Formats: sequence, C-alpha cells, structure tokens
Amino acid sequence: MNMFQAVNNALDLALRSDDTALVFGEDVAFGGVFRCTMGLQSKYGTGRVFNTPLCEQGIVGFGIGAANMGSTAIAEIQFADYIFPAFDQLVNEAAKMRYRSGGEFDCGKLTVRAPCGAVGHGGLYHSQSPEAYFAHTPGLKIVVPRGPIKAKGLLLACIRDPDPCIIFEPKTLYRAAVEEVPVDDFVLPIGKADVLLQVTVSSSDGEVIARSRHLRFAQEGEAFLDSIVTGDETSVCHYTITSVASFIFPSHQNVQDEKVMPSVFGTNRRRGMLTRGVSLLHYNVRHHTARVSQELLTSFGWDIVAHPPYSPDLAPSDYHLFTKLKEFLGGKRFYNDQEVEEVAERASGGSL
Amino acid sequence: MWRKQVKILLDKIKKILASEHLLSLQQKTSRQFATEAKFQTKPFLLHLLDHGPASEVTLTKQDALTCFERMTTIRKMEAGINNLYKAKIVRGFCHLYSGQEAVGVGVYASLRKNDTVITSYRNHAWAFLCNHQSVLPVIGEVAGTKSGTSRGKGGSMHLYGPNFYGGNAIVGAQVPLGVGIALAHKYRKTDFVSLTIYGDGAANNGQVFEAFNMAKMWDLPCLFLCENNLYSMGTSVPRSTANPDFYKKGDVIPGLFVDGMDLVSVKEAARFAVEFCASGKGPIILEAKTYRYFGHSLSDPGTSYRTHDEIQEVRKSRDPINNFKNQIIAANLVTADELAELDKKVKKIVDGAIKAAKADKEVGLEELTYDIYANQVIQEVRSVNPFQNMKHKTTGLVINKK
Repeated sequence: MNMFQAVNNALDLALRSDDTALVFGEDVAFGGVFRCTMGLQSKYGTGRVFNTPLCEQGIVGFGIGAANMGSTAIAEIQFADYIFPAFDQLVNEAAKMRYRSGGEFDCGKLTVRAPCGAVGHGGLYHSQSPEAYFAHTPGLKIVVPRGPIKAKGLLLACIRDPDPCIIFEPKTLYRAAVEEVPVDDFVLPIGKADVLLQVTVSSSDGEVIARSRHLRFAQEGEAFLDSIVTGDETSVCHYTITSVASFIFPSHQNVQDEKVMPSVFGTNRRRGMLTRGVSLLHYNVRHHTARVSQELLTSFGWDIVAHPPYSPDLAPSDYHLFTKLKEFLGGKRFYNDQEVEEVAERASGGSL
Repeated sequence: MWRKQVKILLDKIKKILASEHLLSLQQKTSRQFATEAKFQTKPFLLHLLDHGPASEVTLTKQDALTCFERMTTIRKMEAGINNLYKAKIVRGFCHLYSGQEAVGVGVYASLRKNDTVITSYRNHAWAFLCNHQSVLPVIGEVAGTKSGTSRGKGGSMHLYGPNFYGGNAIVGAQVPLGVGIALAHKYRKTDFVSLTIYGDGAANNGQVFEAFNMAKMWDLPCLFLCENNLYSMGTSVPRSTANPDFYKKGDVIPGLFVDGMDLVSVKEAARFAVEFCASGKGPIILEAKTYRYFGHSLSDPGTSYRTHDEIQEVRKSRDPINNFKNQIIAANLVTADELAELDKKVKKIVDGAIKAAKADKEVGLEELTYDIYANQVIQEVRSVNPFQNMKHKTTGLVINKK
C-alpha cells in the first residue's frame, strides 16, 4: 500500500466502525485531488462523504459544530496552504473550546487532514508546511506521518483521539512511499516520536548507550566535537562499453562490475590523517544502503554516532559538504581504479 | 421560327442573369464597405435595478476585429500553454481560460484607461489584456522565464501588469483586496472603477460577503465580476451553492446577469456596470455565465465530474469565438477571409511568443532570496547551506505605486 491508499483504508475503517463518522472537504466526493477519498462516497453514501463549497473557514467551523454534537468529523483541507482562512476556527475555536468551557464542551472528535510540503513544482501556495504555527497552540494535536503504516495508524488515532487533531500528510509521500500496511484496524500512539536507531558506543568504561550526539557532548564536551568527522560517498563507474550501455539500457543495469566508490571524510577541527579517536557523525548515506562503507568503517574501528535518517537536527547542509569533490568528479572518465584514486587524492590535496 | 424564339428567350434569360449578377456584385461591394452593424443582446436579468443595459448594440468593424483577434489570441495562447505544460516546460499548477474568452475580452473592451483589475488564479487572459495585449509576458511568466510579467518569479497563478493587481491563488482572497482598491479610487476622488473578479466557487467564500458589506456600506466603485463557469473546481453549482443566482448574492448590492458566451452582451453589460460604478452609485455585481473547456487546473482531466459530451456540446453550439464569428459575418461587418487572415496572424504571434519563451532563461539562482522585504534591513538570508547564506536584495521594480 502506498500512503494515499493507506489513508483511504484508514478513512474506510473509520467510516465502517463508526456510524457518526463524516468525511467532507473540497472535491472529496470523487476521490479528492490526491485520491485519498476514492470510492468512499459510493460505499457510504452522499450523506456521509460529501463535497463542500470552497471555504476553509466554513469547512472547519462546520466540523467543529458537528464534533460538538458528538459526530466524528473528518475534514479535508485540499492543500495545507489553504488552511489559513480556517486558522481562526482552529486556534481560537477548536483549540480552546474545552478549556474555556471549563471542560463542559469539546470538539475532540474533529480531525483535519491536510496535505503539506513540496511536490511537483507547486509554488508558493501549494508547497507550504504550516505545522509549526499549529504546534504552538495548546489544545491542538499535530501529527505528521512518515510513511503509509504511520499514516494509517496515526490517522485512526487522530480520529479516535478525544482532542482536535490536525494531521499534515507530506504529499510527496502519497505515491512515493510503499509499505506492507496491515489491513486491520490499528492505532499508533500520538505524541511519541519513533527512535529509529539506538546506538551503542563503546567506551573505556564499558558499554554506554547514547541516544543522540547531545548525550555524548554532555559527557565529553569539546573533546567530542574534536573527534567528529562527517562522511559522504559517491559512485564512479569505469568508462567502459558495458558501463555506458548500462546508462542507456536499463536492462543492463547490473553490468557495472567495474565500479568504485570513493568515500570522503571531512572535519572542521581535525587536521591530518584520521586514524584514532574518530567519531563519525552524519553519515550521509542511509544506513541500509551503505553496506560497503559500513564494512570499511568497521575496519577503521571508528565510533559511529548514528542518526535516524531525516532527523530534524540533521542539518540539510550536511548533504552538501562534498559538492566540490562531486563537481570535480563530474564528467571525468576513469579507465581503472588507480586513476580514480589518483584523481581523488589530488582533489583533496592528499589529506584523505 | 421556333429557333428564333428560343434564341430571343435565351438572350432574355442571359440579360436577367447578368443584371442579377451585377446587382449582387454591387451589393457585395457595398456590404464590404459597411463599417458598423447593430446586434441584439441576449436577455439580461436584473436585481435591484430600474433599467438594464441596452438590448441593441452597435459594433464598428474595428471593434469586431479587435475583439475577435483578442479572443482568438487567448484561445491559441492557452492551447500553447497546455502544450508547454505537457512538455513539462510549464511546471506546477496551471489554470486555463479557454471557453471563457468572451467574458474577459467583452468586459475589458468596456473598461477605461485607469480602471483597475484584480482576479483569481485563472488569470492568463486578464494578464494578456492588461499587458497591452502582448502574449510573451504571459507565456514567459507561466514558463518561469525572464520575459514574464514578474520575471518568472510568480508563475501561472501570479501574473501582474499595469493597473492589474494580479492573479491571487487563494480562493476568494482577492475580493476584499479589490474592495480596498475601490476605496483608494474613491478616497482619491477619481471616477476609476475597481474590477474585482472571482468565480462561482469563491462566491461561497465568507470573505466575499464581508467585502460585499463594506463595498455597499461605503458605496465604493467596485465592479464585482463573477465568472460563473458552472464548476467550483470539481463540484457543480447545484451541489455547492444554495442560491445559484450569483448576481443576487450581494443582497442590497444591485446585480446584473449576462450570457457570458455572447461577447456583444458581455461588452454592453460591462459598459453599463462600469458607468454605474463610475457615476458614484456604489458597487454592482455582474454575473457572466460561461464555461471552461479544460479541467480546473491541468492536473484535473475535467471529466470525472462532468461528461465528455457536455464539453463537446458546449464547444459545438455555444463556443464564444464561433458565435461571435458567425454574428459578425452574418452582419456583413467582416468577411470570412478577413477573419482567416487574422487567425493566421494570431497563430504567428503566439507561435513566436512560445518560441521566445522556450529560448528565454530563468532568472539567476541569486534571485531566490530577493524582494523578501522592502529595504535592506536584512543583508543575508539563511539557505539550505548554513555556511553559505544568500544575499537579500530589493530589485525596486515597483509598478503599482506611481
């Protein structure tokens, strides 16, 4: 299942398991612009899945009212960028209803879905990620799933959560991300981020579990920063007939037997060869695709301060540390490994 | 004997034929010199108005040719943009005006020099009209190149021009802005009119009604033009609108309904409405019922909520360009040859603009962080690479303040 199918599946389950559930928004009747509500109207009727006029303030206001009366209101804002007309309704009405009524009234059954983020050259009004505005509002719960399984579990959790939730679905994942999503009804906990990777770092005292680089910084201070090295890798194919063919004919994709992978490591604070006391941070390549490099790193005996991929504290800049080398390598032709080595060495001034 | 009689008879017939031929020739030549003709307008519907626009309108040959040329250019320009979109030269979202040409061209023909225009994201036609009817600024902007109305920084939905306050991407958001522009016109004691355009979808948007209230309360010279193309994105009017009489939606604001597929009627209705606003009578709503041939945007095939036959039927029987063409030919104002010639000329212009836009370049990457603020309060803007900030700069290409 990809992510829009997972969302569709979650909505289907919500409508099936809850008679009071309603799905509405702009153009949801024929499936919505991202196909998340496909087939729901024909299954549950026009009374439960329906189109609204183009007025986001109205959509959310209407949803709050329906949720007030105990209906499970699932509103779709076609693009997260269009949520701003409804900002007042969400922040001033929905978020504060329980508090200002002293707990007597609430609109907790409201869930707002909005596709966010950039995709397909959307430009100024189809690419924004406004979750931060709402995340600063007490009373609202904000959810951003990272894939189909999460999307389904979290959407169902939002729908059943007793507080108003906004789920921002990164639209770039709708078709891109595919996972084995359980078809049964399930919920995932809201407000609990995944720890994608826990790292075991060996030290002289024995085993220390470091959750993040912050922990080690707290323990070791500047010394930790001094040990940090970042890495990147790139693939270079030998310029042979088969490698050229593999670019032209996708079916020849596996004939790149003469391919080398220069890995580069850089640091702000260290000089000279990287041999001892090195901690590797921000390894660019996703861990499951970097087998070759990981083997190499193991042989070096470096500490690896691993990171969940796409972690928020992983600055995007870290992906661009070695652009100069890549630019330098671009368009060059190598006929054997030795040439690659020589060129790479020259490019880095022999400090590799 | 009988042969002689036959010969006389034949001669007579020949003479009659010849004279008739001459007559028809004379008629033809005299018709070619017709410089104006009268046309009947389609019935208008009025709301809170004592009298409406005229039922008979005179159009000069020059008017007819100009309007035909503009409508044809818009049609061909939109077709060209559609192809550029398919070729992935135009990226992002792209909303075409095809089918609605008579509304834009008709209303624009009745605007005066200083009247202002603001519209929604379906703005290619209006940008073309307001940019001295040149095609390249529109296609260039849509393709994101330097030749565009804002050097490619706005794209399809954000075109600008002299007295044209832009395409606005959020549904209904331009309507309060249009009322503000009208307020400025009145405050400066001018008789300029603020043409504020929105669609049937936006007509159900709350801020539109807030704007109506202010416009009427202060009697602002705001001409609200509702381009009703029957579908608010993918939801038809009966499914999205409780009161489908968009010209009555202003409650105490007078309204006027016109067939938006008939250029002559639109032009006359707009003349009436502009005069109404300019004479200090306050705002007016002009609803033009029209049709769009393409989907809401080019990512919408446009056939999941309406039938292919429906679109074909409108194209065949109600097409604004064909209608107008038949009207002016039947009135002997122009000949089919003249129009064919004009058609060729337009094709050449549009093709030229497409070629120029394709050859044109985008602005440099440094412009990514230009024009965020009015002045140089901030010098640098954080970018994806924290070690290399980008420069902020104000280009100072202001056209809205004279």
